[in-house]
Amino acid sequence: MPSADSGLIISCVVGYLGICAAIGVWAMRRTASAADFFLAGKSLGPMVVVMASISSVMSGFGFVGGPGLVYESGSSSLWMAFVCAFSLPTTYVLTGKRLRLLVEARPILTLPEAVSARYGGTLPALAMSLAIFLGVIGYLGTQVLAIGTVLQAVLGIDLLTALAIGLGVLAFYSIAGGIVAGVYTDLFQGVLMLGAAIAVLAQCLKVGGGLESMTQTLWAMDPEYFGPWGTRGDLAALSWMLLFGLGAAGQPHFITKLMMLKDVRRLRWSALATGSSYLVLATLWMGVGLAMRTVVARGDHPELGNPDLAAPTFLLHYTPELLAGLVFAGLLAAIMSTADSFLNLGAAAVVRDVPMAVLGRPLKAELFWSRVATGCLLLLSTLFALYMESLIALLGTFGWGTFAAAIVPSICIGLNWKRATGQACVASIGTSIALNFTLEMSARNGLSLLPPGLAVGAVALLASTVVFVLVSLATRPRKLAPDIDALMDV
Amino acid sequence: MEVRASGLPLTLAAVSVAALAAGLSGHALALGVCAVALLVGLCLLGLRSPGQPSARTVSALLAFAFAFCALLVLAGRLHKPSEPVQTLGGIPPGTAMLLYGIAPLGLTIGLIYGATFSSEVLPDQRLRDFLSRHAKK
Repeated sequence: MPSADSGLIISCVVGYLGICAAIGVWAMRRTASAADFFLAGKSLGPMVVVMASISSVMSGFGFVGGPGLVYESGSSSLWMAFVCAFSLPTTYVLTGKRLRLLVEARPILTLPEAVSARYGGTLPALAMSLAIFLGVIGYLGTQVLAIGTVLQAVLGIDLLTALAIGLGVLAFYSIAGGIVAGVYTDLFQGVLMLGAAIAVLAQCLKVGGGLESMTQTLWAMDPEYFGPWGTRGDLAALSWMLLFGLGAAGQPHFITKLMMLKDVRRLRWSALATGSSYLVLATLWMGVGLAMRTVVARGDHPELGNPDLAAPTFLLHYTPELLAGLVFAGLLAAIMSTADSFLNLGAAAVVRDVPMAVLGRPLKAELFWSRVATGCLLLLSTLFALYMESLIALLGTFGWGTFAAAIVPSICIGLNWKRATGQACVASIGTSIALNFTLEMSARNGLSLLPPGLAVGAVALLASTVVFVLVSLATRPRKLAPDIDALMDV
Repeated sequence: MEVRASGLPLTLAAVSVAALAAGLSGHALALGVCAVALLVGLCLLGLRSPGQPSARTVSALLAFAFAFCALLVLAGRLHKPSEPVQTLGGIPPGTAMLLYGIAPLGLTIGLIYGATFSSEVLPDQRLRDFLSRHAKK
């Protein structure tokens, strides 16, 4: 296990944790209502939304798990990372103006409330709440594993202690500040990581002796590794392309950011800015993993015991101290701000969405109960992370697939097709949850029902889309409320 | 009218079935082409409002899809693992189709969205009408 003996690196990380705590205090003063807690008072400028979006999508999944997966299987996971150049802008196309204008027309703070406004009835909103709750628990585990891996590496401490420190800070600022703390941490982290990604890529090329030299080394090691599909093969690469290319529009931590924009007209160039900024960050995902594999293939570094250590190991051994310190701080920011987004979504599902669907009104003292639910979710996801054993990026892929299959049909297609029905929404969400969990658990228990490499999430997304369209056509649509009808014609 | 409005979602469902068949039978390239078709279909669905998208936007999306599929095919064709490595911009040619081709090409969607925002995605008049009639006071 690598660990930092550099005072500079540790200072950067500790300094960052202090900044997070300060943001939490500042955000707490700006959080006076549930609308502030869940949607940042719909007051964000386009720059904050873009940075918060790319930070939350990249997260510990991309910054820690991404290099680990590249280290393990080469180019395969690049089909997750680089397709975000179009998948993130596609999300704006599908949901941007409609979700944002829905917030203008109705007192909506969460996705299940949006589903309720679109389809009416109780079941669609309940089904969406369940999907989000399950996805949050799964995806939060990714962030928890990542935070443990980074702090363990930097501070040279055991996993439980690392988790206790990281989650302590996370609990403080997410419980205190809600989404306001999260988006401003995202902004801080996004700007920092955009600059750092370019510097780290340059360092990766320097350590590897240039792209040409790295290619020669990796080709000699295994021609498939840096070929177009990586060692997991073309079916894995292209099914990940499908899942990540179409599934971004189903990531609640991303699409809810679009609901926070102050002025809907500022969506215009935000789509392009989000896609291009993410491309810059994706070079970090690729560069660190390839450089680490290159030095191992040349015999300059021993094989890593766990691929997820690729990023921390590269930063500790092959990066100037100040840059490493800044990137470690950025990694922690990415992980913690995304975890904050998930805690926020999960709390909303428990405290707001279920009572609204069942009782027709939110709980009394909603802000207080939101904070209590956030703390409980934090504990639950920590236990889940300790229980699960998986590579960070693969756990993240499972979470991504769960969200994508449940949300893309019911929100992205449903907000753009008047014939879609509430029964179809429930059926597609049910299909997505059943397929994701059945196929994933059977594979984990040695009974793979799919061809090797085919992503479970991709199958679930395709199946839930088919179910959504067919059930919509087979059932009677309800008459849309005038504002929803007009919204879908805008 | 209703059948016409449901044509695009039905097409999306049909392409999804084709993608499932391709994936389950292990035909990776066919799965990739179906993914591109789904992407463009979803974009058309998202851009669809009365009278939109324009023929120019549809043409741009179709050109995007064609270029994307061509790059996918090239990625596979240019990968020759049994031969000594050739490089394109420092990396294997098949991988270059992703990094130097598909990744920057993907920005086309954001460009189309930005370029057509005022004229097609959300014209000022449509926005004002919606807000005046339905925005919360």
